[in-house]
Amino acid sequence: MKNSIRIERAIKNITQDELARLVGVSRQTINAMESGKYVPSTVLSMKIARVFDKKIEDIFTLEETD
Amino acid sequence: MESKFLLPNRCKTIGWALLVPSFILGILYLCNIRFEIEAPVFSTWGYNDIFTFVHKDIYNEIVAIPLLISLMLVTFAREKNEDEYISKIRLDSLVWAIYINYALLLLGILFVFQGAFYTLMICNLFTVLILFTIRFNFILYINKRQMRNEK
Repeated sequence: MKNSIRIERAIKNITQDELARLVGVSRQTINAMESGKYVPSTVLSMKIARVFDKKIEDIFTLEETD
Repeated sequence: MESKFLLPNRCKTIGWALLVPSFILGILYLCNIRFEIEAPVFSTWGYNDIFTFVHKDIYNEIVAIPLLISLMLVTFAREKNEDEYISKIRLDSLVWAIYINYALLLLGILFVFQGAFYTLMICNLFTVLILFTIRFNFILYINKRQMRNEK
């Protein structure tokens, strides 16, 4: 699953650390998601979407291999 | 999403503080640097009678118990920022450690015999926790190092 967290973060102008605090996870988790190493749980995806005020599908998209 | 079976984070500090001296004692024990401490102990099984008091050297117990407790504390203490990704690293590390541990044991069964095999079995009591600790902390360290390059 791909995501556009890094882009959304740049638009909103917040750091990984700030986003981590807003959704209640470690900065490592944000970093791992941005570099495609980790696919978040549904709860975390929804929290991230809420921070950026977007729908989940606007941030997370399935890949062909999924 | 984190496991409810983990210990509080402060157990990690206590665990490391206890692990360093017990690990050194463990290594010394393997190098045959041992002391004799005789004491009466309650034995459930292993001597002629079951459920009996015996007088024996308890130095191996003195080495093994703190080592086991400290390894358990270090392994199962919650990280300060334990979340779902860290839980995933934890699970992966546990699976990895069990694979490697039993692969090593398998090699031991095939190629190590007699007294050396007994020593290997003693080491094998602790290696699964040691392997887990090494792998889990290594992955966390790599992630932290990668993060330093990003904002």
